[in-house]
Amino acid sequence: MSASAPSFESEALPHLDTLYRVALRLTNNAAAAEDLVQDTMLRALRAWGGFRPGSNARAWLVTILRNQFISGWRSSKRGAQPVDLEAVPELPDMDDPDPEGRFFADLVDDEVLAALDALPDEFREVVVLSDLEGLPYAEVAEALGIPLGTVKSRIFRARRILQGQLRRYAEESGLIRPTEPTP
Amino acid sequence: MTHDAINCTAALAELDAFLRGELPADSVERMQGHLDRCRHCAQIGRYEQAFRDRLQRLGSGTECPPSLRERIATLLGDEPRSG
Repeated sequence: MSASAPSFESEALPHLDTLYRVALRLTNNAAAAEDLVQDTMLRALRAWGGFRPGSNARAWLVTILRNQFISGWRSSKRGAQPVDLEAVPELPDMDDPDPEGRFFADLVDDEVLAALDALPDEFREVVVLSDLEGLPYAEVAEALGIPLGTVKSRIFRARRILQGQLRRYAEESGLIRPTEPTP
Repeated sequence: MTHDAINCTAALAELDAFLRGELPADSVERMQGHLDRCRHCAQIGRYEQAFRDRLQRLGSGTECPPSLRERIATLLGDEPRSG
């Protein structure tokens, strides 16, 4: 082994926090997230010989984590109610009771997490990687193995759907008054 | 008004990149100029920013538990290495 080759530990361990948060959002369960991260690190170590030094270790690890999630975890979890992917809510107009979305800041974590968790996996993962973890779109595309354009269109729809769901929570909890009177 | 001002369609198309801080400097200036003039786009910008701030808050503060870190360090130490 060359002396200059980075060790697995030096490349992978700095991303444990990111991997744990992504796992938590994918599984929505702390114990499952821990197992998923542990599986990911073992699998990554075994695949370390195929990692190209200088390439993006975080995207590489997220890819492995996601593949582990899809093959082992996805089928065994969640019974969230499906969201309507066709009905993409509009942005509020100037007449909206809360046009600048001040209600977002007042929502509790559980409400935001419930809305996030109700998204289909392929929509949730782009939001988690892009908007929660702050990965650039190119890195999201690399981690998920999908074209950049697909990342952008998915994130656009996912955000609108989430915004619509969070608005409903805000209306139900009285943070904003409903835009339409209930019959 | 500058002659290279952008309209609402162009501004909204670039809003995402603007909020992510990924616009080149000259485009940022044009975008900021538009947002200063257009109340509607400014309102949408603030709405999108409020939404993103809330999502970002979910991601912050959660770290890999120390017990998991230790478990992984032990597992990695036990794993046979090639090379």
